[in-house]
Amino acid sequence: MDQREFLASVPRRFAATQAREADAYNRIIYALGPEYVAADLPRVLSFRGVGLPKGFEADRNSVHELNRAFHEIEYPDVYRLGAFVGVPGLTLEHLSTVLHFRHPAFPIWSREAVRAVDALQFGVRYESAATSRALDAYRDFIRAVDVLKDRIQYPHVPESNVFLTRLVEAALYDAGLQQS
Amino acid sequence: MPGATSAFEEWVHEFHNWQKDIGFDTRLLGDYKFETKFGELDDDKIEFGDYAGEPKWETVRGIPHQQVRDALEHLIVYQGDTEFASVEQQRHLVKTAPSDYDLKSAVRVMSEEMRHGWQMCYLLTTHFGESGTIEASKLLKRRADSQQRLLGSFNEPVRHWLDFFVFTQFVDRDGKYQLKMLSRCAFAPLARSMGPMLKEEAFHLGTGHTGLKRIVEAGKVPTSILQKYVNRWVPTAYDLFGKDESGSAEWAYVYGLKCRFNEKETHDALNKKEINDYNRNLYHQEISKLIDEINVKVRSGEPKLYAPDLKFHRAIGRYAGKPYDVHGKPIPQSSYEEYVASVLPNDDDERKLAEIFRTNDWIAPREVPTSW
Repeated sequence: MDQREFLASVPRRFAATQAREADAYNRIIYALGPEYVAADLPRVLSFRGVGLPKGFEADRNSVHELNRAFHEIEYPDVYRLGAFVGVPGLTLEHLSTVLHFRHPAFPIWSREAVRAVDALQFGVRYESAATSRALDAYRDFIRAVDVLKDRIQYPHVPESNVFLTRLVEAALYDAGLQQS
Repeated sequence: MPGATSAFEEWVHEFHNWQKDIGFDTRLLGDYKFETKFGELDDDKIEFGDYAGEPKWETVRGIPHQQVRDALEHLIVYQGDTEFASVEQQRHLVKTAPSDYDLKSAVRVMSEEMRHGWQMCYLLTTHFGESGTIEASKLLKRRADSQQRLLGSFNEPVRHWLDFFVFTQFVDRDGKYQLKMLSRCAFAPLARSMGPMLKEEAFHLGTGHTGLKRIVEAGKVPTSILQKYVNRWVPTAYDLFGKDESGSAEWAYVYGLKCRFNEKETHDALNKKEINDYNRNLYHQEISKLIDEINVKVRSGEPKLYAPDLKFHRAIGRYAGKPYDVHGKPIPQSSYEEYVASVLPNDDDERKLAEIFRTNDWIAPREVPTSW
């Protein structure tokens, strides 16, 4: 896939993804307070059907740990998420989804978006379980999204209330869906 | 010379003082970094005006006439003035955000407006010598709260989040027009500055448009009240395009500094005397379509929103102070003042809004989260 062609297709692809998921996205992002509470997690992880990790309890302690990590995290550093490496059943989809809705500069990780980024010659490999290797891959994914954000020209940036990260990620998701 | 500070570095110090002085909490910026950004040029030749076909000017020294340099500096000063002004107008809103994401959106808008002012001051201090340094410093001394800003819209208070969404939808949208018109400027550093600024402006405009759709969807703010805020801000945005039959717009075109909004796309014949009005009409067409999109969400029984006519409540140009109603019909001068008071926000509207804003369900979607 050619990068220039992809960037020119962002408005169309973003619109396609929004048609599928704008309502779900908005119902989550505009309803969040300054920190997560336990009731937020099932709602946030309902996005794209990610769901709660098996055996995971959205209790006060786990939410406290999430809030603490997210309070300290600064874009684009992913390694603050290292606290969650090895948690049984936890995937990069889970982590990046809850992270994105707190810090919209961080993109949501998905098999589809990674497929598209790889097709754009960025060499990102898909990982699922939240391991150290997965964090490396997520870091590479963020770098690729950053390059695309930098290279996209203003006529291809539609007016929206989502961060440029989400615009590009949603376009990548659409491109990846079409390649599957 | 080792240890010497550039004029821009000294300006950055003044910028930090300005942030403190206006009470902007810089902790809100998080990991946001202020930096100058330059995009690519579509064309490295001057694209319109008397110098068309010549290479674009990379330095002010390369500009052949002092009048052109002065006009260019004037354009940059006015652009920069609006950026700092809008932060002064909006900074208090962080205390009353309807959601955490709305707070993030407002902080992002303000961060980027500051960056745009930063970009203009970089150009002034780097390219315009002592005169540019003085102007860049003056940009940080004027205050919107004291009606010292150079353009009318930017001396009006943004009182609450409804004002904010209407402002970002309609007044920032004029900003998009100005930036696009400057994106083909014969002075290459200014033209290159516009691409990144336009990318960022897309978020500001989207915030306004989405915000208004959400307000209408929630159905708590009557559209009759919302219309009054549209009536308040849109005429000021019309005025931002400048006078009809403007000599300075004509010269800016002739000098190759600022073209029509759709210069590259249009086949319309150029009327150099009516450039401002031409752009203003394009803007009016655009906002009318956007208002139609918002009207899709208006509940049955509620009046639909509309864009006030170009003649209504103007302070600049051929219709300035003239008695026209919101639909552009002339009305008797004797009843004009009373009429205007009836279609603009009043204290009673502000009281009603204050009551509506007490619960965050005036803007969709907003679910009250359950506790532990």
